[in-house]
Amino acid sequence: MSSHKLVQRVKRSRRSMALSGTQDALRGEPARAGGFGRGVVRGLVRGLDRPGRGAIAVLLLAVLGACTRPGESRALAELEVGAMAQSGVTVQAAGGLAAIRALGDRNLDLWSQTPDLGLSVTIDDAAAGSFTIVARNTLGDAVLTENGVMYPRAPGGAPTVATFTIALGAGTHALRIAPPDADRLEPYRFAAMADIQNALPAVDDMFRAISAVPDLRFVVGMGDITERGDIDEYDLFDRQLQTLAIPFYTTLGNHELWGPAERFFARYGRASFHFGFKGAAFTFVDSGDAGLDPLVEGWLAGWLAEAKDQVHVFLTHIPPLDPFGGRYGSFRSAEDGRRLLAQLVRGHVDLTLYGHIHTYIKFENAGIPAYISGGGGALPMRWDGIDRHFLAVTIDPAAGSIGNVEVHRVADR
Amino acid sequence: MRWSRGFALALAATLARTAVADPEGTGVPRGGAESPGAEDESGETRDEEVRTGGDRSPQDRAGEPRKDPDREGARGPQDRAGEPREDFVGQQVSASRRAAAIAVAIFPGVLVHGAGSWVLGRNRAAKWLAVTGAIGVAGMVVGGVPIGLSGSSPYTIREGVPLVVSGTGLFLSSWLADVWVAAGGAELPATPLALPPWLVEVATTWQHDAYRERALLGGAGHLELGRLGLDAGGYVDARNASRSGEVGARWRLLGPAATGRAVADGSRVVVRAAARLDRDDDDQVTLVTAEVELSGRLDLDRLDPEIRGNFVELLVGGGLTRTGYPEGRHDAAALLLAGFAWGVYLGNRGEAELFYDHRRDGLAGGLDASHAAGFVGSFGGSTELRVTGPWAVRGQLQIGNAWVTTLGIRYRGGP
Repeated sequence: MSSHKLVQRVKRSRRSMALSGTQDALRGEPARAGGFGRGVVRGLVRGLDRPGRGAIAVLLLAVLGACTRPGESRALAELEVGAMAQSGVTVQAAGGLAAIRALGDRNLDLWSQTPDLGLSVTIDDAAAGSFTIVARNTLGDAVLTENGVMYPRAPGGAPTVATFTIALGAGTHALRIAPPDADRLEPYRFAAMADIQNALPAVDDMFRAISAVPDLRFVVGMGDITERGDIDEYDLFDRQLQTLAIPFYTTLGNHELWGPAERFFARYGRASFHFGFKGAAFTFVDSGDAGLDPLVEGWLAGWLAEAKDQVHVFLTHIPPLDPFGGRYGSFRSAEDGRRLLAQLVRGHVDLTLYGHIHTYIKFENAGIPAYISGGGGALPMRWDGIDRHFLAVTIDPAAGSIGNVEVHRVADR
Repeated sequence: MRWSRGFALALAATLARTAVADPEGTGVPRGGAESPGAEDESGETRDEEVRTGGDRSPQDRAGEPRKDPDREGARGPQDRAGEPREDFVGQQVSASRRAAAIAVAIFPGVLVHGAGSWVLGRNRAAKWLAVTGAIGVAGMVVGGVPIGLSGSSPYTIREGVPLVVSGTGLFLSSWLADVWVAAGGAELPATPLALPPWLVEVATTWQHDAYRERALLGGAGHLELGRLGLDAGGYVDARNASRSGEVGARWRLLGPAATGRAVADGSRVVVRAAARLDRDDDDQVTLVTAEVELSGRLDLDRLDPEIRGNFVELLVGGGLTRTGYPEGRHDAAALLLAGFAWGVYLGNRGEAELFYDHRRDGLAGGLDASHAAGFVGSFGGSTELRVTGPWAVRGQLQIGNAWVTTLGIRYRGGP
């Protein structure tokens, strides 16, 4: 007997058994000897009409096809961020560290994800001319340079929005938007915060408080800037950022994933990215679904190797391991969380910053100093003695160390 | 209120009866009528009676009109005290009524537990299932609301999460039990088997997750010494890059002795302590874990004879893990254990169950649960089936962050 015939015979046999068992179950009689359980299952199936069975089949297929890489498509989509070609102009942000918001007739509008942004701009003959570059989310003292020639920003406007005018001929141009001290190794301070969510209408309080702290160069965000990832929320966040005098670099959180992640990418760039500033390295990774996609883990390995000799700050939304173990406000797999921490140890990371848990916790993971600062205003944890807050971190690249980490409280409105 | 009080009393009575009716832990209830599968004076198990279900089986009344428990005063859990009882199995059910019961049990039965049983006229079973579901909801609310309102304060977690998980377990189990009754499952032969005096198993496990495909070979053994049970097990992956070993000891607080034989009631309560060592060379991580858990199983026919053939299990516990990382770094983390299962007895050949495991430190990890990312554990199904003599097969599929499939062969030792 051929294998095909054998398979057909088995199928016919099973079909026959299924029908007889169903009839038994529907009659309310016990299943026949040797047919334990079949009556029940068949009774269930028979109790449904064909569309019902189809729905169950679809459901089963969905379960069987459930992906163990929920972040894969998101990671792939991130690779598209930071590049655009249009009207004879091709723009590529170094490391993908800018969301190109608009590229039109000799006009480039972008959102920077780094205090030190490199741009490669290729222009064909027809597009050559005087260009206006609007660089949002930049340091207040950032300037545009090309081949050592500095182009100052246009006067006026918000401190984080720099407008430059530059004549660009046909060919490829390497532009840099950074403050004059970007390559100088010296201590500086930055702020860190996370978990704004439904406190978005009141976050301008925090932004004003951050702006009032002297010497902070920028803010790093550990995700959850919105509650549901709605467009209205992103619009409101954009408006609220106008009250902040320094740039805000952030990854996304699980709440941004309530809406399409592309909304985040289009406005604020990549969720997994890495930049260096004044000799210190900052690495953000997307853990919005309580884990890292292998693609992201691969990028992280490269960034860790690149910055192994630098003071290095690692940021992500969800802590790999919840310091209060029973809460499980952590990666969905403890094995993956511990593998990440081992990777950070090998990469000589100096500081880890997390959000997701709406409180302030100072602890160590794998011996690396760690802070959870989820004080952006979202449903605060009770009885922890702290509500809205942000961190002010001193970093000393020359000494290769992290200095003071101050906690700044912001009163509820 | 009366139902709730009755349910609590029934639960307490069940556990107490298990202890009182079986003071020696032999699995043989004390009382007038012996239960199916009980040993006779010669010590032989009455397998024939067990196979046909004894007084728990519909076959023994084949041809006789079945009695409606509500109409004819069928007794509830008290029947299990050892005295003979009426056959509680329901009357013949027409195909249309059966189909209606199944449909109603699914919806609106998912919300109104017991609806399927009610359609079949098994009102007493319906009441108990509704009460069980309501208690489950109460557990979810009592445990979950403080967690939500406190923003997951540590002060609410240790008590709240076990309540939420247990409540969810009762809620889902009572729904599944209703579907089971509606589909006629309660009319099938169902005989719990006590744990065997000793058991060895070899198993192969396949782990599929975002990072790797991993084949594991494992082995385990159990030895029961009266109320004390000892177990050990471990696995190694095909590349010998990942290894795990565990030893445990458990104390049977309630439930039948480990005879390996058919028993009248599979309900039991067990406390277990275990220590585990995990080493992953690829990740360069070593874990030492110590944990304690309290678990229990309740045969649902204790609530009402019409809900027979299936059971619910709940588990709570805690532990501590010390993790070693590269460069001599280490940290420690607490572990909260919780879980539930709903299962059915497969005649006298074994059992199958659906389960939820709240822990995240196993091979499966936790499910990617969208808005609840990071808060949810893994789901799965498992079965153990005696195939011939002392040989049994065990299969399990657990879905969390990884898909973990296990197939094992067991040898159930003992008389």
